[in-house]
Amino acid sequence: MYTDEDLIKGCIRKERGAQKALYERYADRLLGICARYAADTAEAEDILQEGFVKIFVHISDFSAKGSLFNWMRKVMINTAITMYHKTLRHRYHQEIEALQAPARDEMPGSSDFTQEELLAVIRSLPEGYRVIFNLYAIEGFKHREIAEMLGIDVNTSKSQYSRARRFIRKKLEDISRIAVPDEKKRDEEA
Amino acid sequence: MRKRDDIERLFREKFEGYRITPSEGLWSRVVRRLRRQEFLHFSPGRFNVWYLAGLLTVGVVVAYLALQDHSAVTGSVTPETSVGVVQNRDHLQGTSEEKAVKGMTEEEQREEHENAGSEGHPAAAMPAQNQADQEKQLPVGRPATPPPAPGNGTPAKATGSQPVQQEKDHTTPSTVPAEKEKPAPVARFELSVRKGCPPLTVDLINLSEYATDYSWDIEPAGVRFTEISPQYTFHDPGLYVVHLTARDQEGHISVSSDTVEVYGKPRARFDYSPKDAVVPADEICFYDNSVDAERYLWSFGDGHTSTESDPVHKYTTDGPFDVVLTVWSAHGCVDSMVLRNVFEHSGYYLRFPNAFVPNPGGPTGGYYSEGSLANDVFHPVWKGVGDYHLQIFNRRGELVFESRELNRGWDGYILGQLATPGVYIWKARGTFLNGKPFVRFGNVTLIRKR
Repeated sequence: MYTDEDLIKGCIRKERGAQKALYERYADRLLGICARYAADTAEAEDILQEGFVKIFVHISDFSAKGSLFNWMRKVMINTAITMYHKTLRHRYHQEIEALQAPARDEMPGSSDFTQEELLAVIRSLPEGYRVIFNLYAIEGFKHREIAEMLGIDVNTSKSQYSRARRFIRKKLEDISRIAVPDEKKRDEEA
Repeated sequence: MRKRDDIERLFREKFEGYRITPSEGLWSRVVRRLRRQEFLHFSPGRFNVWYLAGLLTVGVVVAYLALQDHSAVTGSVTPETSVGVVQNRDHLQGTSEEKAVKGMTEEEQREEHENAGSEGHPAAAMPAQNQADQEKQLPVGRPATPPPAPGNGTPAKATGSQPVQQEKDHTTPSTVPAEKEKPAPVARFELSVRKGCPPLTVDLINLSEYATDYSWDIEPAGVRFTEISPQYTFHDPGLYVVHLTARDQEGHISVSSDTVEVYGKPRARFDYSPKDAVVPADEICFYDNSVDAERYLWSFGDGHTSTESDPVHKYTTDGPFDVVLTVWSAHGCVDSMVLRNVFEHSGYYLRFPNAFVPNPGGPTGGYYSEGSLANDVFHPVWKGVGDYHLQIFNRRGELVFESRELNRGWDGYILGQLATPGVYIWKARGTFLNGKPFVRFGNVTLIRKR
């Protein structure tokens, strides 16, 4: 079993074996991150692919100070943002329609949402909102940092985030409202 | 506030260490992209586009020199048949080589020549340096250049477009690349509210990008703002359109619009009856005269409420009361009306019974003691009455009794004789102590005791 350091050294020497080992070690976790930024799995894999190419090309830039995974995660997020910028022109005017704020700011029903459900909720967000939601809610960036990354105003980041949040809350409420009983789910699978 | 964090926490926890297995072919896709990337990036010790370019240059130079030597001896005797083919190839290589060389730094060029030297053309490479520089100035497509080193034909075709593309792909992972060309403005905004009851205060939140000047127009209000994110209050019901025009310094504009709907407001109006009711005692009818009201809330001022449109209420205490009617429209817009000090004079009252049983033992003079429950004298219960004049008539309209004293009622005797049992008419006039006059009339049944 190679350590991360061994793999990094191998990758710096451009050894295909080391690259593959690094890929196999981290691809699934990184894809789990990319998935949140992408509209579908194909797009997520595109981000992963581009991200890994960047990782291998620039692996020598990685300073061993931080964790390798965090660095790779950052590369993936940046790749996702770059991709988002590329598609920005075409999709920017997409809007969250007919979004009425729910009356109460309380958590809908149960918190027993599956990852798949949450992923579907995130993916149903328009692109710009999705990126901001990911960066703020999950990645934990500050609005100031997000504004810098995306080249937008801080207030835009804030207002879009709060809209995304409202949208997500509504979606979660919808999900818990139509939640299928477990027996029924099993029947369908059978 | 704990609730605020719920969504963030939910997502953060659920996606902690979230894994998705990539599809089978993804690694080979990465490798393919890597190969291309590595091929386009200079790196000593690995064959890449720079080596290819270097080899081509060296090949061309060597060939050129060889040809010059050759022609010096034999003149330009080149087989006609091969010229056509060679010319074509040369053209191709010439262009690709030029493009590739342009992208190189001086250092790389030097390195390229060193490498070329070490690859077994020492004699040709070193003196060829000057010649090679000259050669770059020469027009492409010269005849009679021998074919380049074997095996370079295919990749050379591919290099035509790649070096350009490579610049785009080259992004540093730790920073987000900034947009180089100045983008056109994008007008975008958000309204804090899009529909509501008047007065509706709306924040016009500017989300435009790449713009420097803004102009907001609200139609048909005819209002214009030039602030970045103004606030406007709509007072009149109606459908409004908000236009945002975003401009940049070059004068490019982008326009975005949205609508605001201001609902109509209901009007709360009510009346009540009787105006001169005795409170507490009488039932009061309240009448709704509101406009566009869908829901009602009456507050009678004594702690009681009603949600009927036309309620009837009986007070149990003295007034005055402030009566409030609040109405809601179908859209939930609200209005209310207050009547202050209703039944202010409810401390003054005058009530007559509608039957009495005279004492058969003879006339009593009509004097009665207040609070007595004996019903043998017809008299009112009263409070705060000043002037007072009671008249009683029989069915033929003849006056049978008259009193100006509050403490003297009718004992049921007419001129010493017990009156005929039956219905008599009474009329009372006067003023309350607060100066408010009253005129009351009604009938009373005289019942004879058996």
